[in-house]
Amino acid sequence: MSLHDMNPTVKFLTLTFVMFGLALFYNPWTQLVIVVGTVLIQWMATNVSWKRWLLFLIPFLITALGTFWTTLVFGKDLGGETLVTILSQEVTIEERDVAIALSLRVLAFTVLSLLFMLTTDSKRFVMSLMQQAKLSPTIAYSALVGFRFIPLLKRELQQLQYAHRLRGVPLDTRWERLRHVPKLLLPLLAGSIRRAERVAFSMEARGFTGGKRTIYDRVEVKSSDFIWSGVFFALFGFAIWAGI
Amino acid sequence: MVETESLHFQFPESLDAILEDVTVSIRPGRTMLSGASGSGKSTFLALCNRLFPENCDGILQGRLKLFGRLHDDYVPGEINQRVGTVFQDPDTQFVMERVDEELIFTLENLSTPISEIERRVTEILESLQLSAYRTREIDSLSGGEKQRIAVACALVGRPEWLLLDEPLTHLDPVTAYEFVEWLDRVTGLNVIVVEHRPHLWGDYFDWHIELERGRIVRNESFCPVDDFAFIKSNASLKNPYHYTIEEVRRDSFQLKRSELHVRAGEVIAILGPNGSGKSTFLRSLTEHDRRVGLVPQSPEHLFFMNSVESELQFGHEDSIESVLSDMSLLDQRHLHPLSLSHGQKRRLAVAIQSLTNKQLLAFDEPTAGQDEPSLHALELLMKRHAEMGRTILFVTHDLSFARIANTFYLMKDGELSGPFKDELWQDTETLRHYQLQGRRARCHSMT
Repeated sequence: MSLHDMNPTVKFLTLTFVMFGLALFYNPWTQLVIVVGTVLIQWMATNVSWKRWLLFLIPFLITALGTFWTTLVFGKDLGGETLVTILSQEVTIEERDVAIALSLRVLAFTVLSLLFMLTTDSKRFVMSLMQQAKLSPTIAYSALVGFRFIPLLKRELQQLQYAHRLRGVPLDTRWERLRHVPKLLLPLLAGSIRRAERVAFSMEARGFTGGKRTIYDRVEVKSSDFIWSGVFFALFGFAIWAGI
Repeated sequence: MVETESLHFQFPESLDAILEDVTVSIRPGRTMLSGASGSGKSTFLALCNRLFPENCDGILQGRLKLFGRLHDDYVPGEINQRVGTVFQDPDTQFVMERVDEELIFTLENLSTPISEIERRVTEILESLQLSAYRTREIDSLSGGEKQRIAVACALVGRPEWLLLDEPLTHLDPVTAYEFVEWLDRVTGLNVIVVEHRPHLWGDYFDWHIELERGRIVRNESFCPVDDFAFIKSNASLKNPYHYTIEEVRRDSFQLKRSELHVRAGEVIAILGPNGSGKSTFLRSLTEHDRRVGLVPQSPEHLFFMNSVESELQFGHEDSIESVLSDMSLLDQRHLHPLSLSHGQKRRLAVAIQSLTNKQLLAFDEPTAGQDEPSLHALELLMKRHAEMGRTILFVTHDLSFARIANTFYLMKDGELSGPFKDELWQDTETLRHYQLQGRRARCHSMT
């Protein structure tokens, strides 16, 4: 019963609910339990590559630390007993707790989002949204085409940069490439529009009208999906209890 | 299948009609629809599968009947059950990642009962001899393979007619030849093919309709034709010099280091099938040597300014007037480069290179998707610059167009061999070895 098999729409709704719920609680213990619990679930029920997970985590870790620091030093003066003095700012126990809670909340949101992202196949998610959440097939299949366009877009970008470099545009450093981006947008957009039109014609020529069609590859809602939802809600309940 | 009576079609934003007074009846069998770009042939095809006029607000007058019924009696999607279509660009015909998923997508669109889908996929792949591709990722396939899959997707819904819109444009000659042979073998269907290089199809067709500026100029039984003739450049060859092409290694591919000895005024063709390393060769040549100017396959890749004028003036202070008139771009000087026609874009690209005094002009696959007038314009352009003392080099798999060159090089698996002179065309052994010619040449007049 791997988390990878959980119905993507149910998973999405469950995790979104937990995240919105978390926003209502300030207690650091609540956030901490969610962070630890989510990581435990990821460890036990998924085969996510921890290296990838850590790489994705880095920017959010920095954000969390930044939140901690700024709340601690520049946060609203909450009064109370002084704990330490940093940069001539007096930090009280209350202020420290708020800082920890806020940064842990950033982390909790991050690990939940990463859990969803790394255990959900984008194609299956779109298919499931179409079948369970009544997303219109026109939008769903456009999204799928969009995924396929990303490598094409990348290839075209490389061709453009190569051609422009040959014309003497300096494009060797990151900064030079960044400065040249506005000049690349129009040709890239023009190319994309042309491609999009062709794909649209091709889809229509194959009978895709956005209307009635059969669905072969069913993404089912299984009873195990609700067990998983239960697990997350139980974790959330436990986290609230831990915070009281 | 298609019957028209004084059919007239135009886009609302333009004054010129795309199709004018077209009265034709296309009978079962294999029909070729030929004509230059802008002759209306693709528009005619789009009317046959009802992509037009729905999607373009086009104005249609006269009568258009599909399968004996007036065209606007059909509800959206209805005609697509009876007509399958394959388009030109192998990269923009697919929605899903895998071959079987793509076939299933099509069957779902046609509301095929779920219990039948599995069987229909197996059936179509078997009948087209494509079973080995069933679970392949579409992006990992070559252009020729993609076009076969596109045919499978068009036929999986069991249409009565198959329409193909310039399906060979992006294929090299042997792949194109094999595609036509395969199509001949596997389908007993009624077919309409839009094509501007009829010779590639040999004797595949029964009937030939030709359009010229929206009017029918030919409507008769098909007889195989030779390709357009191109004449060898006779610019005088002057001072020799040479280029070094550095080695390139990428994954399992290796471009071997080579020396290219050329002369001013020489026209050189580098020939080889798709994937043989021609583009990598050009890249290595252009990247390491400032004397080389490149005209990419899509010339617009060179452009990044807002007008033809500022494009030409980029990076230097010299006058652009003579180049503008020389390249017949005077009237376009204030236009946006991306709004030019393909021929104008190509001239602008060449103009950019001549302003920076490049010794050698390299063209990447300049003939892909070009019609006869455009090919001859390209021929003239190249010859003129050769006469001005530049060296012209182009990579291509277009054996007919390559005839304008003085010298030929062949490319296979990253290795360049040559130079060859005109004797190359008699040497079928070598041409076959370099996958430039199939087992039997289709309608080439090799003189």
